[in-house]
Formats: sequence, structure tokens, C-alpha cells
Amino acid sequence: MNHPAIRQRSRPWLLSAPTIGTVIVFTVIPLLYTAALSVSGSTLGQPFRDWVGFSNFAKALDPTNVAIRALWQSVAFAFVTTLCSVVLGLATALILDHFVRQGNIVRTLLLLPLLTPPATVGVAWRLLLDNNGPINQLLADLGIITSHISFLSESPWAFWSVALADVWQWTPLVVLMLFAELRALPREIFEAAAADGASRLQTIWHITLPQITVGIAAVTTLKLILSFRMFDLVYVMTAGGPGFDTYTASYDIYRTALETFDIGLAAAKTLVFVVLVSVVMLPVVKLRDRAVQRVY
Amino acid sequence: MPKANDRVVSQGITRKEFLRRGLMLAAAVPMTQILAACGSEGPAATTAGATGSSAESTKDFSGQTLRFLAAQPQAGAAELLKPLFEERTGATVEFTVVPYTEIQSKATLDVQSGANEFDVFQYWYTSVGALAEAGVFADITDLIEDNAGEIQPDDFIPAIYDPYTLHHGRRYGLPFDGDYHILFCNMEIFERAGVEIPTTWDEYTAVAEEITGKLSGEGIYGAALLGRKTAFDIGSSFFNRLATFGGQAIVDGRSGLDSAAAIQAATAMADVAPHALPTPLETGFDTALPQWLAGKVGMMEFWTDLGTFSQDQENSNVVDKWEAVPLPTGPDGPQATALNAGWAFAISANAQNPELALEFIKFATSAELNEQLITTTGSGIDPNRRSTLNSGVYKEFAPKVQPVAAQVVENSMSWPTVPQAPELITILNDELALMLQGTKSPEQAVETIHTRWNEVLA
Repeated sequence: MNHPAIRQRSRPWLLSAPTIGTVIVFTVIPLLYTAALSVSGSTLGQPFRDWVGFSNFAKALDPTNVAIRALWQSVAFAFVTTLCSVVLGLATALILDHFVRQGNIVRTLLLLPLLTPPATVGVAWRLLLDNNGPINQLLADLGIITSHISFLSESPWAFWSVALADVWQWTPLVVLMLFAELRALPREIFEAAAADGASRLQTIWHITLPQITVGIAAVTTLKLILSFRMFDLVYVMTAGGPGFDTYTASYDIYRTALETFDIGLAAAKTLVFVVLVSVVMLPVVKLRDRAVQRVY
Repeated sequence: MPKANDRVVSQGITRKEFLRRGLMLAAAVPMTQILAACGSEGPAATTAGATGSSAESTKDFSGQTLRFLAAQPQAGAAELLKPLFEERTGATVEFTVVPYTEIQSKATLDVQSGANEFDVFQYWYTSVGALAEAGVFADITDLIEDNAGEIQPDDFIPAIYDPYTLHHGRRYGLPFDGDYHILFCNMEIFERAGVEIPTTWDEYTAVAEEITGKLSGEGIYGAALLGRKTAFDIGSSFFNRLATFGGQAIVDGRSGLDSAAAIQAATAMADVAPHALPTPLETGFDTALPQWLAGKVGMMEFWTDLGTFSQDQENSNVVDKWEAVPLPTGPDGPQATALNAGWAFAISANAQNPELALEFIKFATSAELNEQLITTTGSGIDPNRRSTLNSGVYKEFAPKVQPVAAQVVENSMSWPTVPQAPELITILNDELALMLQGTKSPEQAVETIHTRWNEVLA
């Protein structure tokens, strides 16, 4: 037996073992367990009570059920907040890049919303948007509104209010990532563009943006994933209301599992949500890959 | 006492803050002094024990530890219980407080996982069926019979005792806090608006409309409609009306909401919403309470301990300006109330020290302690025994509330307590919120609730 040969053959497996082990422990096993729960009648107190086939999936996909609405609202919420955060974040990063040399203080300030627990963010925005809160007061003082708006209990204000809080919290992340990208760009190109008489807008459009496309794609993907997981702000600010206007899939799964204790149905909803997010994310990931290929 | 919802930040003084203040006071001053010192509705109560002690402990549990799980709204009561029980038995008491929404999952996981961290669970009574069915609670039927002399089960108000503890004919706990609503009216506002106390829900809506129409410019509204999408808020508002229109939640194991009373109950909520404190969908008991105490609300359905809060000289603008009356009724409805919130104690099926656990729940649910708590400002505890409800001390402490509570509590309507109750309550909250939002009519909302309840119950 040629021991060195065996070692040679097994080396890739040995080197891959930590990765494979991690994937099995953190992905495969939970997924299989969730799949098993989804075809069972399970409550928190009595898991795997009986085999129910695909009836939980039928319930999760029942068009009359609020779960379907929650899925689409999650998608809408994710795209709206991501678009707003990336556009605002990019604009802010460009302004900072133009006016700020080092940006250490700005970076520290930008970290504050990110370091604030989402529950605290939710409470703060709840107070700000209260019927008698400062935002209503300000709008009334400016003569923009004549009667106070119930931002968190009226359609469509509630949806946009939660979106606003989310954008407030996560836009600094976009700014930080894109600002770092911008600071890393070689200055010579910009000096050459200036020497050629390029305007500020032309420089941004033809030089800056193409060079940070990969960064924009990466931060967009990250923000989308964060937004799909939206739970805490909804929980704190609106509890999914008014009606179901801010009812997201994560919140629906939480309520199914821990308010009505139907673990089997919650597992089925989770799998449906995972599939939906994967399908929706696929073109986004493709676009990002294309951007990477174009640059490199 | 209801849930102090930690998701919501209220303005000014909250019910929770009151509870904390009462708690701090209670921790600093012996109970008898509290009775003399705390604000009551009438002259300060000076003596305790009108009901006599029913929880005399003869055993010494020194060196032993009792661990119990407490619901967040009852944290103040838990703090009161701890030193009293430790003094009585020599045992050490440790308790963990969790939000009420997490009690069921925490208790279930404690037993199912084998962690067995707790000997005693405090629970919202609607979960008794689910937790008994899941094997989380010990069946204490025989223990109650064996200790009937001390526990005095016949003294519990039957309308509370059975729904709080009974599942399939067996007992799984003992009532701790009887929670039910009556109507509070701000008479100063009534006089200014020139209206009378309503006795029917139609009158209630008319009075609310009148007050709001005349005084909303000053920030005063006719009613506070608890419409936030949590059980203790929107659910309480519905069950108050269902009970007094003569409806039933569950009939023979099926939904009882296919009745005219159920639609009338929902309609009564929708009717008063435009004239209530803005905005009902955001109004929870903890946001309504400071508005009431500030004198901005004409009428409010609330737990009986609002009487003591209202008489708190430091925190209330409505001292001596209010009246307590039974909830309005439907045209042919009974004078009744609904068991909104409501807490009990159960022994864990895997209790490490069942003997000490039994001793603890006997003490916690005793007439002696109930009387002490219901006459302590800020305890948040309401009477659950006939002897305490009708005791001289309580009558003296709550002269306006006591007669009303005594009038209606024997006719309290229970929420569902079947194992599927959590899901039923969630469905109810969701549909009623859609109704208040204007997305559904009362008829549509009730029809959906009825249909979905039957699907779940099937």
C-alpha cells in the first residue's frame, strides 16, 4: 500500500472536511429537520405527532391565506428598501468622497445606527411617528398637514413608515461599504479626467460608477438578504398591521410557530419562503456575477 | 392584570410604571402598613385578614429552593410573593420573568427538553388546555381534594375557577388573578358634555360621539377603544361586547360565533371607533391608561384595579371624578363581563420539588394573599374568591368598584381554553383588526372568524 499516494488522494477531502462539516451542521441538518417537520403535524409540545403529507404546504400556499400576502409583501419590502438604501447610500458616499479627506469621524457616526438594536430603532421611530409625535407636530407647524396622520395605523403610511425606519438603519452600511470602495480608487484617473476637462457628473458616470459596480452589486445583494429577513421593526412598530399591511413572511412564520404553536405549518412556510427568496435572488446574483466578469 | 406590552412605548404614566411604583412601595413597607398608607378609593384601609388565613404552613422548607416562571405583567406580584413565601416556609424562591407571549413556549420547552428548570408555571388561563394536553402541567385534581381545607376551592368564584383550571374534567392549576372589565366613566367630562352614563352599547356609542364632538378640540374623547392587535386589547373589547350581547365563543366544541350577538359585538366596536381616542388600532391598555388618568377620556372599559389607579393622588387627574358601572349591554343581553387576561399557577409535570411547589401555589392563591394583593395599590391583582371580593377590607378599599365587580363577576364569560385557543385568539385579533382598519365589514370579519375557528377546531 502506497501511503503517500493515499495521503495524496485524501488530502483534498481532508482539506475540505471543515467546510463540508460546517455545511452539514449549519445547512443540511437544519434543512432536513425543517423538511421533516413540514410534513408532520407538530406543535411545540408534541413534535412529529403524525404524518400529514403535503397538507401544510397546501395551507401555506392557499391563496386565501394571509401567508401568500406576507410573501409578496416581503419581496416588495426588500426591493423598495434596498433600492432606497442603495441610491441614498451611493449619493451620500459620493458626497463624502468629494468633501471628506479621511472620514474617520463620519465613519464612526455612520456606525451608530448600525450599532443600535433594531428594537430600539423601532421604539424610537414609533415615538417619532406617533399621532402626537414630533413628525406630526412639525408637519402641522409647517402647514403641510391640517390634521395629524396616524402613520402606523393607516394605509399606506404604515408600510412606508416601517420602510423608512429600515432605510434609516441600514443606509449607513451601504455608505460605509461604498465609501471604502471610493477611497480605494486610484486618484490618477480622476486627475487625468479633470485635466481632460470632464465635469463632475461626467466623471461620476463614466469613471467612478463603472469602477465600483462590483461593490454596488455586493452591497445590493447583502441589503436584499437583510431586508428579506425583516422581522424586528415590524414586531415593534406595527405588529404586522394595520390589518396585514406590514405583515412580512418572517413575522408570519414567527406567529405561526410561537403564537399559534403550529410548528409543522411554520416549517412548511419557512421552506416556501426559502424557495421564493432563492428564485428572487437568482437574477440579482446573475447580475452581480456579470458585473464582476466585466470588471475583471 | 393584563399584559404590559413591552413593544409599545406609551406616553406618560403606564400601567406598568404604576405597578413598579406599587412594587417598590410594597418592598419597602410591611403589608399592613401598605394597606394603611396606599391610596384606596375611599378611606384608607387599616386592617387585613378579614377573610382569615387559609394558607397556614406547618412545614419547614429551609434549604430548599422553589423556581417559578412568571409572566411579565405579573412581575410585581411575583416580587411580592417571594419574600412572603420565604418568610413563611424558610425556602428560597427564585423566579424568571418572561413576556406573557412567551410563557407557553418557555414552559413547554422546559418540560419537553428535560431542562426542568421550573417547579411552578404562571400561565394565562386560555393556555390551560394546550399546556395540559402537551403534558406540561401536572394534574392536581387529587391534590386539591386532599388539601381542600387549606385551598378552599369552593371559595373560588366558579366563573373563574373552572375556565382557569379545568381541562377534560381534571384540574391543572389554581387561579391567582381574576381579570375582568367594568366600565369607568369620567363624570366631569360627562357633565361638561351633558350626557348620562350609558346602559346599552348603542347609548355608549351615542355618548362617545357626543363627547368627542363637543370636546375633541381640547383633546378629550368620548371613549378609549382598546383596538391594538393584541389579545388583551382588541380581544378584550370584543369579548366584553360578546358577553353582554348574550353570545358565546365556543358551543359544544364548535365556534359559537355564527350568532347575531357576535355580529352585534363586532358592529358595536366598529361603531364607536370613529369617536374613540385616536387611533383605536394603536390604542392598547398601556397607552389608554395615561390618557384616562390625564382626564382625556370619557369612558373606558378596563380591569377593576383602574379604580385604585384613578385615586392615586400623585399620578391621577381624575381623583373622585369617576364612576364605575357594569359594562353596557345589548338590547336583550345580560349584565355580564368577560375574563380578559387572568392568571393562574400550575405545577410543572417535571417539578423537582412537587411538595414545595404545591405549598407555593396554595399560598399564592390563598384567600389571605388575594385579599392583601387586591388591597395593595399597583399590585394589578383583582379578586378571584368570593370571600375576598366581598370582604370588608376590599369594600372599604374599593367602595365604587366592589359593588360593580360583585354584580357582574359571577356572570363572567370565558375566552376559549381548548388546546387550540392560541390559534383561535390569533385569528380573532387579525380579523377584528381588519374590521377596524375598514378592510372588512363586521359581518365579513365575524364570518371569517367563525369559519376559520371551525376549521381549527375540527
